[in-house]
Amino acid sequence: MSILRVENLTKNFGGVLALSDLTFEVEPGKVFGIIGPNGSGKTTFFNLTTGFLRPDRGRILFDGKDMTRLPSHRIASSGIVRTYQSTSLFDKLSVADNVRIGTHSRTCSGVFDAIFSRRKTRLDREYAGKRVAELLAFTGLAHEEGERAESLSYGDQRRLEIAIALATDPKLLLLDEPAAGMNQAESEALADLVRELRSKDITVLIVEHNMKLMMKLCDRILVLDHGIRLVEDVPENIIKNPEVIKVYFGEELEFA
Amino acid sequence: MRSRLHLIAFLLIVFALPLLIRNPYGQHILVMSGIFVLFSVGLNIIVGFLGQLSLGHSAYFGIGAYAYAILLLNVGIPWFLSLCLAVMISGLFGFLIGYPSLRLKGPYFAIVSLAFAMIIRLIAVNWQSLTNGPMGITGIKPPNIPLIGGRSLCFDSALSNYYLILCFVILGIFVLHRIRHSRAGDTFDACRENEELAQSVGINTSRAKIVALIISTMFIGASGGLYAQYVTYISPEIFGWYYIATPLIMVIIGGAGTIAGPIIGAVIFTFLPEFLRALAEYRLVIFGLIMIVGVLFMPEGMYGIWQKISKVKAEK
Repeated sequence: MSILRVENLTKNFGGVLALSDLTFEVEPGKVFGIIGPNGSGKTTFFNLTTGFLRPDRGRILFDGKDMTRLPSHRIASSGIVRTYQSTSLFDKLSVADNVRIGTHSRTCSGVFDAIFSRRKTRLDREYAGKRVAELLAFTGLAHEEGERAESLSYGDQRRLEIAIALATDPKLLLLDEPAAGMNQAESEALADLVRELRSKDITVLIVEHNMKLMMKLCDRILVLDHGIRLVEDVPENIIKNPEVIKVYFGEELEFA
Repeated sequence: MRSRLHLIAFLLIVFALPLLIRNPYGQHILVMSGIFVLFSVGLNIIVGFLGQLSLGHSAYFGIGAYAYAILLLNVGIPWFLSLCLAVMISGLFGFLIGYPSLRLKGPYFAIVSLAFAMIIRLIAVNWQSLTNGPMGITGIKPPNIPLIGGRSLCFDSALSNYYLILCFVILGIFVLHRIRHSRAGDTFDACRENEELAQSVGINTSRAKIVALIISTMFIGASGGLYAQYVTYISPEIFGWYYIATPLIMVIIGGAGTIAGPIIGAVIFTFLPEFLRALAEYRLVIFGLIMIVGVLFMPEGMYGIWQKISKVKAEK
């Protein structure tokens, strides 16, 4: 069964069709890429999937459950988590605090527990502390644990974003242009990270302009053009597809 | 361990203070600073932890004071129960106002809260049968704690009130300390720093903000109730600008978002105007200048400066 099923998803912005009748499925444990020229509806799709926008028509099924009308935080705690195109962190907090906040939906103590139950608070803290240590080690940020998030280098900030997202124990991770602005070494490291995620059975949906990276990483690629699904196939066929070459590579041949 | 020793030493000083300051006026100022500590610590939950400017907190101070006075005098409920109910009523109003307005971003929450404070003041002025209108409520009986052997402890002096209020302040700070270092405290930080990201990692930010506002208004309501029982007289003036601006200054110049900051701010800004009395009519001018300098040169507040200095010292 597919982990994500998108059915007839349609979204208008005041007459401009951002997504039109989009239908596709993502297999669990795969890395699924979405490409397309700017304005083809990739980020709109992410916003719809994570509940920051509501579709005009169509629905999004995750693990067979309809997510279309749920608020963002509910979608996140049921296992779909995203990162942002422009770096988005809790800037003034430490790296460890950033990741700990990510564990929110996997812990449960409330305000009353904070005041009256040391035990529950301590159990949550212990769980969070363990996850923070694991994830900082996994993303290679352990040595910067106490630094403020805003003081990290660009590459490290983007890794921290992924660490925060992973702290929620997602089943489906949406990465919005994770390699944008990264140098060669940084995007290599990112690719390794994504491969490791797949080995942990996390399904990854990735939007990215760096075609080299996408060819190496993705199991399947969906091509969007002006909100319309153009083609979906394995990477080798995508670069050979004449339609794709016409709308996409026609103007950006250097990537091919 | 060292910080625990510091805390004990600090508490000893706080307990000994009214014994060192013997004159009644000085003791009165001490009690007032205790009330303002509770007020500012509560206000700091919205302004500091949540990062949301408030201009309507005098409403909760007034609601706490009026609810206490009315429950005690008109309904005849014992003082401690009246105080607890006053705290809950303040929290309830916090919820009612926060529910629609905390969804608003930026200055809109501040504007709604200010409008709310103005409305509540008008109600206090005009609902004469309940609030006695502009005349205010007088003769609020001081609390009594019956002791063994027919005697009782009556909180009718500044000295006794100091210790009564100190108990509430310590309880309040303890509760806040617990919350701050918990999962609930994390959600406040997350809302302040990046609300969208907070939602994407599964935090119900509307709920977190309401919870913060309810806790905050309960603290402020408690300070209002304690104020009413201490001064024994309240009027609609307590909804006014003085009780909006002063606590805000205490929080911001003391150090918003920390626990110690608002405490320091509240104590200093209750005592400072009294020390400046010698300057007669220039008093408020100087007071204003100190505030401007404070905001310009200490954006992280006095506690922030102190932390920086001790960090530099530690590095040497």
